[in-house]
Amino acid sequence: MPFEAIAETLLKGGIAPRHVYRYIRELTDHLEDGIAQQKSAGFGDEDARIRARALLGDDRELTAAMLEQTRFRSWPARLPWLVFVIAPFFILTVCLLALLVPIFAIGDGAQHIYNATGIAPDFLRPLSWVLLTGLNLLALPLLALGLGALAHRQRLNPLWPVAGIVMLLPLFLHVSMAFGDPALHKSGSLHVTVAPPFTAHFAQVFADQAPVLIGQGLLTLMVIAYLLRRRTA
Amino acid sequence: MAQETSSLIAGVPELLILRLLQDQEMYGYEIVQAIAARTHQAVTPGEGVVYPVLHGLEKDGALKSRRKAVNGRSRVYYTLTAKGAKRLNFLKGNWNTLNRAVQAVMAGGANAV
Repeated sequence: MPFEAIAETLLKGGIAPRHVYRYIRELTDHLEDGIAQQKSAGFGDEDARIRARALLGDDRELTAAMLEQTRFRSWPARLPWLVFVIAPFFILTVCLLALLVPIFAIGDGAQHIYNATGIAPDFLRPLSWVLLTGLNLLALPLLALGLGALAHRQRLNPLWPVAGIVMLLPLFLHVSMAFGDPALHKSGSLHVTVAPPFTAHFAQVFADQAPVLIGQGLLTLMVIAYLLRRRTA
Repeated sequence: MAQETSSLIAGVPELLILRLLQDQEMYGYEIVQAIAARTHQAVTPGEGVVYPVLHGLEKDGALKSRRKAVNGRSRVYYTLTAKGAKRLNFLKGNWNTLNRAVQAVMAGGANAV
């Protein structure tokens, strides 16, 4: 990509990627027009390219002009502590709940689904538990990967997403559910549990969910190690 | 006073761009060529620096843009909005004030040496 060095400088300067790539695209279009004009003025291919590129301005001018526009800075660049440390807790909670609802519906509504589709409740309820386990295992590591990708896209220090995830890890945030039983007039329930080690219910929660919470922790630590390795690479 | 004057001078690229776009929609390269031609090469900034100004004006609502293919080439064309027309009038007013002020000083007077 032409102007790649300019793009990197702007991304590292905190300019939002969509503004950077739009700028680069228009500079590329402009360069093409400049080359065409130089050729029509009688210059050969190489000379036309050199002259057109010189008229465009040097890399320092082109980056300075954009970096002066502080309103084009991205939110992660302006407020990394908000995006990578505060917001992830709320994002994780909302995502867990949003995904938990359909997972719960598959199990709790197994009889209704069977009546409509013929799929046996003996398949649907275990499927629901498997999906719940997967959600608890993978939500935090996937969030960590997503935050790492966001930081990389904007050339931000990966220590920011690592800091956010390190703060989330000891919360042992997870979701659970209980199916209802119409025969007993018992309705189903959904729970979001936060159980940091210093709380009274941590021991019980950990005893009940040890394999999932340990798995969640290990996967998340692997992502953190990957992000830290990228930083030093 | 010094800050206001320097911001007036800094607004010159915006003024020129908005004035050109008042007449017709143009793309970046056209705008640069038009500025150079109409000022008889007196104003020839590094061509690429026009784009942050254009993007800033668009973000402020003074311009709108669209990608259009003309003669087999796709380019981003910019058009003046109603808000841009107001901004143009404001900048024109400031420029005329500055121009008169400078003219008055250059004409000399009681303190002429």
